[in-house]
Amino acid sequence: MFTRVDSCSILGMEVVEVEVEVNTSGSLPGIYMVGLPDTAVRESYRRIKAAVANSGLLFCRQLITVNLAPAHLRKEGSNFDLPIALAILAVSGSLKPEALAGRLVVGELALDGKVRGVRGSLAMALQARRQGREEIIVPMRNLREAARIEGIKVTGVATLLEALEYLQGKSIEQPHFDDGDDDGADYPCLSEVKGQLQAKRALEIAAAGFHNILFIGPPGSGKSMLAERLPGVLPPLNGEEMLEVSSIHSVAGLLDPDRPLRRHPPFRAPHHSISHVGLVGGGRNFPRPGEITLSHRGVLFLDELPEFRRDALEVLRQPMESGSVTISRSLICNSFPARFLLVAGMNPCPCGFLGDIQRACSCSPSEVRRYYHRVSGPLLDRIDLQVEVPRLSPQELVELPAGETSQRVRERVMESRDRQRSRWQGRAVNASAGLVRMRAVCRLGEEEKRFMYAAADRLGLTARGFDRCLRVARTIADLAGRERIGVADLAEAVQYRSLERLWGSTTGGEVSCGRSL
Amino acid sequence: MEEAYRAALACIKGMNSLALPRLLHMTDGARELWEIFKSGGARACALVGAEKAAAYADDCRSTEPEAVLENLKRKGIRIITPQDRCFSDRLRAIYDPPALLFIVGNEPPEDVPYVAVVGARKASSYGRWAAGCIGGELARRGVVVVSGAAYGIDGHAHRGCLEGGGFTMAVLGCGIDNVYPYEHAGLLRSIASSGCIISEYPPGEAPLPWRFPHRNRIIAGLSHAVVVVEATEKSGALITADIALEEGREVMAVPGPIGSALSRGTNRLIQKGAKLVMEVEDICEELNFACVSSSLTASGSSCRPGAVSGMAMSPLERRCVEILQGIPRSLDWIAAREKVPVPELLACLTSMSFKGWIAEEAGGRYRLLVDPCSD
Repeated sequence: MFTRVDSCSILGMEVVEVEVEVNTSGSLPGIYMVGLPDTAVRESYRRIKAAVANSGLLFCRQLITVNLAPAHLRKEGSNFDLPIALAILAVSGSLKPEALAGRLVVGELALDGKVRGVRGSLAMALQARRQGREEIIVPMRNLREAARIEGIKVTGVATLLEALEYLQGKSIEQPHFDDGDDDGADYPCLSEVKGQLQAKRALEIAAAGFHNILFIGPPGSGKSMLAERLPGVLPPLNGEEMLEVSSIHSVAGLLDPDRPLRRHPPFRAPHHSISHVGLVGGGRNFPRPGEITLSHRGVLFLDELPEFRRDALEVLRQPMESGSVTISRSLICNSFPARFLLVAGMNPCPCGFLGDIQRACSCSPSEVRRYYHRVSGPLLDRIDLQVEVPRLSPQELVELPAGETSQRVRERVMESRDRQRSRWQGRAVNASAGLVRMRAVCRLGEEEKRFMYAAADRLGLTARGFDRCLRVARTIADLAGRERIGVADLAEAVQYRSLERLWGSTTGGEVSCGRSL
Repeated sequence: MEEAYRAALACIKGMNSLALPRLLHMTDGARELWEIFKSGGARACALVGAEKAAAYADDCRSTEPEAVLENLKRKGIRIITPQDRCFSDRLRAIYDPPALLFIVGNEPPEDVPYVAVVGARKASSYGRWAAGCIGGELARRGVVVVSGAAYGIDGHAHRGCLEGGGFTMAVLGCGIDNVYPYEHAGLLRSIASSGCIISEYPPGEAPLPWRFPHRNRIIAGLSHAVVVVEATEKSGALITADIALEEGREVMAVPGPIGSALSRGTNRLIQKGAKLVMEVEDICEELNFACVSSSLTASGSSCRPGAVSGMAMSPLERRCVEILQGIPRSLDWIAAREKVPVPELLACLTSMSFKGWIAEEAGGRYRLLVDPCSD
């Protein structure tokens, strides 16, 4: 006897369809599992046997051969439990083989016959729809997640018996989900940060033009507070982006099953001990997405930037340019999306108090220089906005007014995005638009040119620094609704080159550290 | 001949440059001391101890004094001994003058005033501006500016002097061929080409911490007056000031805000009686030199803050200049007080700093550099 049922598996970030074939022959009872199953798959026989028995069903008493095709791909994970169990039940006569046709089945079995949730059901449902399947059967736990995909029938099953009865033709009750806009992302409001007007303004510009940003400030000055509020200022994801981001998080097993659709940009803040594989993705056999992919279309916050391992930071450079990362391993080569907004935080010096009004800095000038040199120039070159975040005195904290709410800032950001969308035909934002097109759009008048050349001279801007300055000025003009870039826009953009201002030619390579009342 | 022996003695490995003048004094000149060390006998042991005497003997036997001098010449290094005419009388007069000086660059001029401008390495923009101003104005009056080529005040005093077209001397606390601090490589090159670099340490000596206080005695000893621009209460610049006082040189200081830690040392000096420097004239008054007073009448300019006419400012710029007087302020403070939108204020601050009216300090605070009162 022979039966076949379709299932799928996750390789890296891709969903791969797998055919589960089961054959029985009249010999002594036993099982062969072939098709490069990994340990979790091989163990599934034990789970299936117990689950079938505990569901009150009869297990096939013949020699069973289970083949997972295509045979050359290594299969991992536990989501073949349910399809194998159903196929075995079908060959032993409990189910008509036609009942399984056209359906995709995934699910892990518990010993008592319950169906456990699996990782990546949203991505699987998306893939099933792309393949033109009529239906996907998922664990009840994942129903809410997979049901977000429209255009395919998604059925959730809670137990093996329920799945069997459903396939036998009995209707089972499906819960109804009424999903609001809430995705559990509760980003704090910008108005909670007092003072730090330049940093807040920089956040607005960063959100509008998708410019990377670096905060330099002593401990406790609010760098992390500011960074955490950036996703709340970014525009919410549109339909396509929502699916893209949610499916990445689904595959990584990071989705909350009760709030499966990510409507807001993700925020990731890995610790500085992270390896380069943890950051860009990778792994031995099947590459897993790294933090840069998990923060796709959202914010990647690297606090204490100079403390990150140098090799980890250097691998960021290429994805920052291309918006994706390709990872090759012996078995598979995967390309992960990675269009993230980098927010970095660092202290002004190793002890953290350079330029602080209350505490003296105890670092020597060469220590400060070494500290800055830990972050490579090419990486800093890709950070358009560099802002100092001074620590406020308690008096300032009390006296300064609360600023605007995230929502008001976001409205302006969205308006400026509309302008950018019409300029770049929706293909880019100011930070990522092609150089030639950017030059054509940012044509400067005579006065503006004169200002910019003087600024480049004073700050010792590199060609890339000059270009990044122009892009920031373009975003500033977009925020103000101006069609042309004016001197004021350029003058403001120059204020976000803190590092060049502090370290540029004008100061002879030294930082001044005045302390006063 | 004597010169070569002195150079060779100074270049002996492990030779204490402070002890060398004493040793020379106890013997009958460099040549004899060299021979004593070379023999490694009882006399050498009595002078420096058995262990050192043995090491010196080894070193002396493998070296020819002429070859040492030749070697220095190849590197462009000359030496000056107290016997030379160009060895400063003032330096010869201090308690422990060096046995010799290594020099790179031009011959130091005679019969002109020498003023040391010293201060903190971690200086504020105010201090750096003041050091640059004083250096420049002194240069224009024909005064030689002496300093230590360190970060901060020292470096800016040298730069100011070079820009003013003057002669500046850098006194190093390490071997003369050592570039320390490394970032000042360019600065040291320009000093060597239009001024000179000197050091009492032979080439190759490392910049060890204890060498700098010793170096400071040379800075003080070379100068008619020492001006301290910015110094904390524990600054090495105060050591220079102390030595200068002991040697009977003028000590002056540039005042700073009472709250600034960087000005506590200088303010304290003034409190104890050091002359307060507001303008370069204040320094020149103390130097009884004809060339100084003559050029003083010729040039009326001084290191007063540049006066900017209120007419040249936009209304916002004028308001910023007004509220930035006294102490540096943060952007938040200015924006909250003046109720100006941040983008407009940022643009305004950029243009002001490009005009040189304000400077930004680490910590995101802006300091006023011009004098708004003089309209």
